[in-house]
Amino acid sequence: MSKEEHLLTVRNLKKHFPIRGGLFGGQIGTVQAVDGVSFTIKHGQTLGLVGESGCGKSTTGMLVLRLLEMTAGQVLFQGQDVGQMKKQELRDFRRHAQIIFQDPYASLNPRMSVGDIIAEPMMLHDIASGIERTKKVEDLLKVVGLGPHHARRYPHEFSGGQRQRIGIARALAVQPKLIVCDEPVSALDVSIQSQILNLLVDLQQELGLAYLFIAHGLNAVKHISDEIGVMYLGKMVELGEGDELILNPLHPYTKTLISAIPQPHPGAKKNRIILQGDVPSPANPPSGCRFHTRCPEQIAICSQEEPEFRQVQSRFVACHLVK
Amino acid sequence: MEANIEVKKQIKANGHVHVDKVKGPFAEFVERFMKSRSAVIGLGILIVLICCAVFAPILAPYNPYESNLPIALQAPSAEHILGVDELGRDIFSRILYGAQVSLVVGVEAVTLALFFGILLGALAGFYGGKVDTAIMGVMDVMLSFPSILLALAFMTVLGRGIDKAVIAIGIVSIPQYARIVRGSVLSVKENVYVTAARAIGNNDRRLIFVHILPNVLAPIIVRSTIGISEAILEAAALGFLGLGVMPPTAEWGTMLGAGRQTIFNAPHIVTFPGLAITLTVMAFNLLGDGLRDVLDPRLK
Repeated sequence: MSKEEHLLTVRNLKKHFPIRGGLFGGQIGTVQAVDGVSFTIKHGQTLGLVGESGCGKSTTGMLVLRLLEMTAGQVLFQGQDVGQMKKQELRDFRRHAQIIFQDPYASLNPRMSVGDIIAEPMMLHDIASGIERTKKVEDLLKVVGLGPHHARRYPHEFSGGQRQRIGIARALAVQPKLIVCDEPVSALDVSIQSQILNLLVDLQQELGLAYLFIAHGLNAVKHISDEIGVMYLGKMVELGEGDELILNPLHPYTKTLISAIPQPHPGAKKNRIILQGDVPSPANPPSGCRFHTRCPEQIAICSQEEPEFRQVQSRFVACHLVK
Repeated sequence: MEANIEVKKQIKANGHVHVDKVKGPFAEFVERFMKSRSAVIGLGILIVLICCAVFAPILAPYNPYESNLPIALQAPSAEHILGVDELGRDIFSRILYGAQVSLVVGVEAVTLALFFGILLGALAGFYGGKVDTAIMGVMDVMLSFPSILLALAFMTVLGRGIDKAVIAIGIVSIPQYARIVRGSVLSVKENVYVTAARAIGNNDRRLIFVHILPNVLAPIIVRSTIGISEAILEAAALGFLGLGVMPPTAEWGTMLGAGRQTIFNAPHIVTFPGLAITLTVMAFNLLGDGLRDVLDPRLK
């Protein structure tokens, strides 16, 4: 596997938020939102990142695009270190890496018309101008399944699904290579979800996009991901080829996530694993394996020693049980 | 590269130009403005007030500075429709001439305060941290003095005169605007659309002026309309203390101050300049409220 194949390489990415308090506002702790996450994404491929709320998956997406400054680690985009980029390099990077947000109601400026929202990235990066730009806006609207007449309207005039399409058109305007999809369908109706997912898949095939697809359940990512990474409390616990990971999960947490996928056959035997308790606080993570407090298969070593994230055949997994 | 070609193909495939008969943004603004009742009424009153100021020499029935002591304090009558003041000057004429000073004082002082208030508040709210501490520290120190005292201090440095009074009042009211803008910027900048704007490559300046400030407009407009009346009254107070607008200059605030002593036996002397100020404030308020709605695309 040559280096060139990787569009994005993330190594040991960390983000620790300080907790401030006390009389003089000093630092009294840290929230380890993302604590040592590594993965790679190839050109035109999709990595699905799953985990429950607060596991750091959205933070990871923001760190990759440097919308948040990382605490430690490295993000390489086409071999360039994103963390070290100067202003101009960062501008160029923004042309190649884009993001689609979870909440379509909050991610569009209410005072800008849809046409302006989609034209803005082209203006900022000197892609087309004047009539050509207007034309491109209309084309982008068509690409995402809206009409040219929508360009003059304002975001509040659209439904959630339509707004998400506008958000996608904005991300596409710069013709990026990578799009971070931060739970792009979880705020939408189920009927709309599949429309948006299909649109994303079609666009990937047509434009050769790579996705970092963030979701809280395997349900949404299993169909569109080439690889799937499972996160728990700031750490990657399992990473592997999509279908294989779903058929044969190694980490106990992955198993519980898979057992939560609804079965299409009403008669199918259900073997749901229900986790006990809540996710521990990332400000005070458990010792040893972070999952041991809720793990149905835990053994003695789990609470003492942190399992290494290591390769097992074609899979990466962090669990003492997996040999 | 392949992606570029793909998009171009797409563009060719869908290539027909959509022609939509639409109005320009200005024509649309005018149309929406005319539909807003409060904006139209506010603007109407303001135009009347401005005409009073401009055409005061033609409209005024008497010389505003000519005193006629025998008829001092006389109540409104056919000859003097708003009565005469403590020196026997025609109040209606003085109000017309006073509009020249008061309107300018109010608008200029607020414009000055708004400019710096928005700039400082936006910087403090957007950057936070040390910038915020430094800017808001200075603002808090300014707020901790009674504003008239601070204005007096500036006047002693700047010297006397109406222009200087405007500058002093403007500077003194900067913190109030800075506070409001900072607070609103703090909440607006947390919106996802601001992060989205950063993600597509906006620099800080564009984030502040294109994406944040337009969404902070409503509280600023409301505060400014109130600020105009405050500025008029503060200019009067400075005049009363012997700085700024000096008697016998016809100016609404000064007229209020002078009529204060005779408020019980000749209430009309304070009533009419007071009404003039109220009318001005109401006009700006209506216009401001209307503009706020007209400029908000959500209320289209």
